[in-house]
Amino acid sequence: MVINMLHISYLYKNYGKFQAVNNLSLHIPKGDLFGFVGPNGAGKTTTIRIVCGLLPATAGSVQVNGIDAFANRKEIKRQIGYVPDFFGVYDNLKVKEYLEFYGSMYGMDSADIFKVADDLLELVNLQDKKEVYVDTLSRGMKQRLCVARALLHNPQLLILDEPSSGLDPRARVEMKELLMNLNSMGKTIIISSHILSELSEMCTSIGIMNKGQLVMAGKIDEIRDHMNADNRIILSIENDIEKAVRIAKEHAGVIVRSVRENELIISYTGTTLELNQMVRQMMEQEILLAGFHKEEGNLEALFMQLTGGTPE
Amino acid sequence: MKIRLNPIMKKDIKVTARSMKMAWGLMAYEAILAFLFIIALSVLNLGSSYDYQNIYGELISLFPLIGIAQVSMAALTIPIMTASSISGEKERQTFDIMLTTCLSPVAIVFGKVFSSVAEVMLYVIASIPIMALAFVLGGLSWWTLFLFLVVIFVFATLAGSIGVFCSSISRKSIVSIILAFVGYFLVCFLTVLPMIITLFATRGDDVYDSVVFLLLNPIIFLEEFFMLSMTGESLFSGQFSRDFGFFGSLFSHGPLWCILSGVCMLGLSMFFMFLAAKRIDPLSGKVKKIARKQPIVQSAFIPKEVNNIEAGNEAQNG
Repeated sequence: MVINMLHISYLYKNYGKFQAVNNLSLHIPKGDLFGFVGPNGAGKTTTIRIVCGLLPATAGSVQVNGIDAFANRKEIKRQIGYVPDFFGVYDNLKVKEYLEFYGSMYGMDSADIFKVADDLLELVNLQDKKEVYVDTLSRGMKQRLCVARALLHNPQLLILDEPSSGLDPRARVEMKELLMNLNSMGKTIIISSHILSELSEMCTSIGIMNKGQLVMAGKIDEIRDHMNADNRIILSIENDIEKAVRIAKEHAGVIVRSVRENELIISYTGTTLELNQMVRQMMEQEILLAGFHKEEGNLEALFMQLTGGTPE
Repeated sequence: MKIRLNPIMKKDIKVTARSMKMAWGLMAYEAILAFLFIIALSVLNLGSSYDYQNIYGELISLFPLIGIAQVSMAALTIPIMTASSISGEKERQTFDIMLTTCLSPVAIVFGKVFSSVAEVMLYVIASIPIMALAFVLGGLSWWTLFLFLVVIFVFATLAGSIGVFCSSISRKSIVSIILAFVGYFLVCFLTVLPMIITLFATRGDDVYDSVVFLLLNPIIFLEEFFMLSMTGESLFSGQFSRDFGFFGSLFSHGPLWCILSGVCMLGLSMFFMFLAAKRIDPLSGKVKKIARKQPIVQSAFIPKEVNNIEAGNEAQNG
């Protein structure tokens, strides 16, 4: 039986008439490294903030490790380690004092904090920065320190909102390795990001949000298989795309997936002969076919298809 | 049993104590007091005869002068310190992280208020040598000095709690500071207002129990304390010839008034602190009981949009 670390059911969040999250249901099993993807304003951060207890939900329920997040807030705080997209640091506070401060906010003793802090600083490769003032660290180092801070109380679920934003490529790689390392240690991690290539490399499963709704979720391998299963073809049409759509729809084995400015995306369930006939008919009817290629199942393409946006 | 200091208070004191701002602030504070003391001493010397007893007798007036100067400086600095406490965390983007820890909003607010109070108390305690001159030369007791520290603590707690409450309302520190000053004014004015209205209504004959609101007035509290310390008499004794109710009669019992007023102001401080805690708690009173909506069966791997397109296609294809 799969035990869910995070169980979101029928979650809604309204700001006046605007629905930031609309009927979101999501289950993330223990030990997953889950990538939360979506364009700006899709509702990712809102969802994360609701899970972390930073925003009230309009309706719905959230369970973390089987505990109701709204009814047992103190217990939930022990279960979650949160790394926000932007965060500040205090002047005149050293790295070890920074960790001591947050450790004491979780009710930990100084002795315990220092013991755990040493291990965590080693994990995030900041062991030689213990006596350094936090505001003098680079952005990447601060980000790693924030991850160490979020792990101080040994949470079961680590939630990172856009952890790679503003990081240079090296810092991004270090962050990715750190997260994969943590995941291999058994931590369940939710990471929200725009950088799809990065997510596809490290995540075990993903969820794509658009306009407050979860439009797709599942194991990353299964999603790839699904994307490749329907023989998707991209036709670049130079002139009358509406006519091309009409012709495509006349063929029984062809399914029109989406239509963009000068691109027609179809999939076919029948034989290639059916496809040939459709192309020949288009050419006979003077449709200028500038390109014809099979779409490989990658996350960027899926993201664009589902959200109508442009992935970074 | 191990006493655990509020982590926010501990951190704030540590961070503040390390900054140069603190050192400069302390120096400026002491310099202003010393300057005032020297000026006042010079004025007293000029106006006195060469009778040593007279000079010493008049030196007692240095106590309210230095005391009021300290209160005034505290009144000016506390809003700046506390009004940026929560909004400063928001501006620094450390506030969300703070809220995800196990520390309750009440503990966060307490930490913020009492770290400011501790800072003010540090300034006041550092100024004791200057204050002590008025005591040693002016003949006031050390007990009065201790009471002065208690009075400053009560005043600083009230001022700090108003500041933190204003800080919890606004996202910008500058707005919070302005709001805090407006808040002080409102507390001072609204606690006097019932008495003024009653005086007008009764054409100055009686104030009855409307004076009870004065218990919450920090200015009356301070005036009463200094009056008692200096003369042993209450501020309003002999001011009202007629009976003005049970609470009003407290005026004639200065120490009791001071104690009650101090307790009331601490109560008002708690009220502001709990209001602030409620303000900063993102889920305070907002967690609704959820009516389960109609479950929408959603395939884990088939996007809704694709389903819709397929459905539309099938309909068109017949």
